[in-house]
Amino acid sequence: MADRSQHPRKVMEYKTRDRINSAVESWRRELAGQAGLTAEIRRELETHLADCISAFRQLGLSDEVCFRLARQRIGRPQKLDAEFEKVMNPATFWKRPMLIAAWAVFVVSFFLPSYTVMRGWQCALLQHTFWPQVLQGDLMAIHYELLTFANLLMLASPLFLAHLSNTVKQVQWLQHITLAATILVWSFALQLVIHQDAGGLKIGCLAWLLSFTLLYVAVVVQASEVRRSKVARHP
Amino acid sequence: MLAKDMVAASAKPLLLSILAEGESYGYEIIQKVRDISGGKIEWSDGMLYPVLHRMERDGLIESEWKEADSGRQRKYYYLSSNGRNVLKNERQQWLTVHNTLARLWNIKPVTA
Repeated sequence: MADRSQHPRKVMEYKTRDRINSAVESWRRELAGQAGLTAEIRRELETHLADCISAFRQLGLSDEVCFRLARQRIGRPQKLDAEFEKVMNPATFWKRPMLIAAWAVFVVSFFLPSYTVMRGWQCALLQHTFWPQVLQGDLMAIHYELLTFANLLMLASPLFLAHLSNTVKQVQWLQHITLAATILVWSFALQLVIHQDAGGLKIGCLAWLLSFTLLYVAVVVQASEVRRSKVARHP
Repeated sequence: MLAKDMVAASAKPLLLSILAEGESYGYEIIQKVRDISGGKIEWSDGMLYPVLHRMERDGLIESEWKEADSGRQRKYYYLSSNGRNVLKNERQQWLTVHNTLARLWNIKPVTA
């Protein structure tokens, strides 16, 4: 009789254990899914999880609750991965001389004569007069308007490089959009040359073109650093 | 409870000081910080490891996987000679801040 009454409890225990085992497995898989968490880091976190579970067990909590609390204390795997990226590979504006140079040249270019007698900032503000041509599908005017995005990207580049270039994926995106902006500004200058307007180009325009080239180099350098740091962590 | 900025700023000297007393591992370090601070400094468990790994990369601490008494394999951290020198410097700097504030608040200063 005693055996029969204990049977349902044993079944419950087995079911609970199965549930915990599958929850631990799923947690392990989630950790393994984070590119920045190496096998060694995962092993360390698993040891920490086991230590937490042992401590909670001593408080008399059920295994299921122990696991849930321990997992909560360690935190979400995605957040851990981001934290490892941030701490192991900090990217700050002031540590990037190439970026500072790009930004400085860009700012200076706005105050230099850029096209005939117009200074850089005057050329940038001129874009609003091109909207009628844009609406008529004039490609040169569309190209001119798109330069606004390139300029905005350049203005925001210190922020992007400081906060959005810590992972390989982020830096790849940044590299793509910076390349697009660089092609955009150089192709615009090329069009002026093709249309025999090259004589109107002044030093400000050259500085502006140089600033985008420097920015692209800065992003490429950052990308290679991030990739190298990734390889160092995943030998 | 200590503000987030203060927790971040004090992490390095606290870790160096704890490891100066002897080798330790992640879970134990968190318990020590909680006990010594009377529960006023609460480190998020998962956030400790990125800091430990950065300090290891910077040569301040070293680590070794060892079997604990419980039979469980754990990664133990210990202070490197460079870490010991950095701790001396950190100690001086924190005492300077502490003593400056202590004088301003009329609290007895601490000698190094």
